[in-house]
Amino acid sequence: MNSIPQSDVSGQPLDLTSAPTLSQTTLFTALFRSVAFFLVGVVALLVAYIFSQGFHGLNPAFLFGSATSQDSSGMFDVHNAGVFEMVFGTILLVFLMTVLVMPVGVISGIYLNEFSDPNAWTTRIIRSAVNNLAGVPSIIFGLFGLGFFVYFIGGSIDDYVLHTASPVFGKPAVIWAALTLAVLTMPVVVVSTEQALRSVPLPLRDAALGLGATKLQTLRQIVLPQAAPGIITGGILAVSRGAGEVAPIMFTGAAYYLAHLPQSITDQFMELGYHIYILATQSPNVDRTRPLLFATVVVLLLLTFLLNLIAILVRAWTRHRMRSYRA
Amino acid sequence: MTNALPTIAHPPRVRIASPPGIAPAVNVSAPISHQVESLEAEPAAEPVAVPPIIQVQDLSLLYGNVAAVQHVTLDIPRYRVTALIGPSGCGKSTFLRCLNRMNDFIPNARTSGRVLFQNQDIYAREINPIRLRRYIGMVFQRSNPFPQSIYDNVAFGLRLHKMGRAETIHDQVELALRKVGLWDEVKDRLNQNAVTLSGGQQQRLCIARAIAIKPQVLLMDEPASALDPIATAKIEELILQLKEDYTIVIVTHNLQQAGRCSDYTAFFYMGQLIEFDATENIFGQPAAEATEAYINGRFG
Repeated sequence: MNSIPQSDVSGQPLDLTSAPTLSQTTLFTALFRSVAFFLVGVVALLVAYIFSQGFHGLNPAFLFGSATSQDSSGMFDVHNAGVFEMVFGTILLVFLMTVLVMPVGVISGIYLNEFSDPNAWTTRIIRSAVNNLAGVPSIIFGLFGLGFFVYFIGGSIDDYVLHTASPVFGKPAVIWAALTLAVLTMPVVVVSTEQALRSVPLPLRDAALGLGATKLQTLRQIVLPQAAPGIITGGILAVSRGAGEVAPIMFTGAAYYLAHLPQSITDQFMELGYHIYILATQSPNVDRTRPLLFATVVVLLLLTFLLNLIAILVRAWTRHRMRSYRA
Repeated sequence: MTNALPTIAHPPRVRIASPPGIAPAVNVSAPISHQVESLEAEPAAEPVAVPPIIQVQDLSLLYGNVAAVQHVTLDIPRYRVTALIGPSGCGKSTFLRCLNRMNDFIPNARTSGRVLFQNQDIYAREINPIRLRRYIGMVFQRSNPFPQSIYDNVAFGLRLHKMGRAETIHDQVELALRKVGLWDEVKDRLNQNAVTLSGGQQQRLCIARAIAIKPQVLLMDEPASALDPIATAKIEELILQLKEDYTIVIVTHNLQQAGRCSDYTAFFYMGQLIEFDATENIFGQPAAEATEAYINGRFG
């Protein structure tokens, strides 16, 4: 029968207990936790404030009513306006942006992770371009979009292709705003795609290559399906980022007021974020505008949440279809 | 399992490159004749009485400036199991990957020397490694089924190489699963995801996937090292069956496994082939001192 040793090597009795003191660990855990919970407090306050201010402005007339109501003098009547056109414009903008950014971003990410030589100078240039793009302030994208997309690309189409005197493409339009946002959100998609591809286990690639699959076959049949949820996550992040940006679109396509919905990609559009900016800065009667302003903020938040939710559901569905590899 | 697949019994029908005049590879130190059918033409190799399917001649592999495999000359006998043993880092896995050019994917890896598969140098310029890997299959250390259905896993290579229409593919999938003894276990859930199988079943599925496309050589890189003893025993049993139809080269850390399964054993140490002989000789009366020390567990 083994007895439990009661003393250490020097013959001193073992003492494995300690007096209950406030240890450093306890102290720092409490400190770090309270700092982390501060974040929760900020979010809770923000949401509570916005909803309390904006909630009673949310009524069907506001949500689905047209923004095109005019007062007796024929001016834009901000106070009785709904947000339908803005919601439509925001959805259109985000949709166009996603369609534009995903192919280019995903292909760039695939190139960087699968085909490029990581040490080549071309790879380093591409990578630093992507990183620098992520650091550019969004107002710069707005000015770039105006100068490059609207005046240079759009203007060139008008001058050399359409030969029109009045601008068709060479003026702010939803397509230019979407392109500008696509450039802005590109780094998110590229980086997410790269990470998603990198996380596909090497043994899976080995298995396909060992069976005589080419690199392209391995990519298409094994790697991309595995990486799809991660790539879609990149799309979700891009949507989240793009739906909230105002600065890039105020020069390139968003309109202060339009009497109609955009009819083509060369039309201007109204957008929620820009509308909030207008309500906050252009109103002659601040007190009357405030409930509308906050109600619009609530709509923008809910819409962004909804767009995210759709993307998350798509990702969940992809994951379900392609159960992840378990080592 | 004696019902050998018809193709296997036939004379080799490899169409990797334009036969038969092999262009002499550059950088070959020892010029050798192209008549390498019999072993008498290759005095450097150990005397093996079985015609070889792969002949490795002075193969070296360098990672940057570090030699992982040094001047290995070795004949792999057809329809036999050849075990590669040696301590960790001795280059046996790297050597195995040289045999179907999976080392192509390792950056900075350079090879020299020749590897003749059916008398064609697989490192010759006209060789397409994609075609080569269709004839020299591989099973990896950790089972790596695709996260797809069991059926799709086995059918992957068949579809890849367009080996038959849907109905014939089904027969080939069944045959491959039968050969690895998995058919009865999975026949009612072929559409289930392969990752739901147990570890041993997954590894047998990977073997089925590899043999479904009827390779001539099966390279196995420690195929049972991550499995429990019962699953390991099944894999070993399977190896003994498979050698009727395939040539098997197996890397193993498990000396008992090498003793039980293999006909020939090669002992690697520090990137070099120390000794290659019939397994009973390697384990019974090893010629080299290092082999004897390793076999008896004095290092490694």
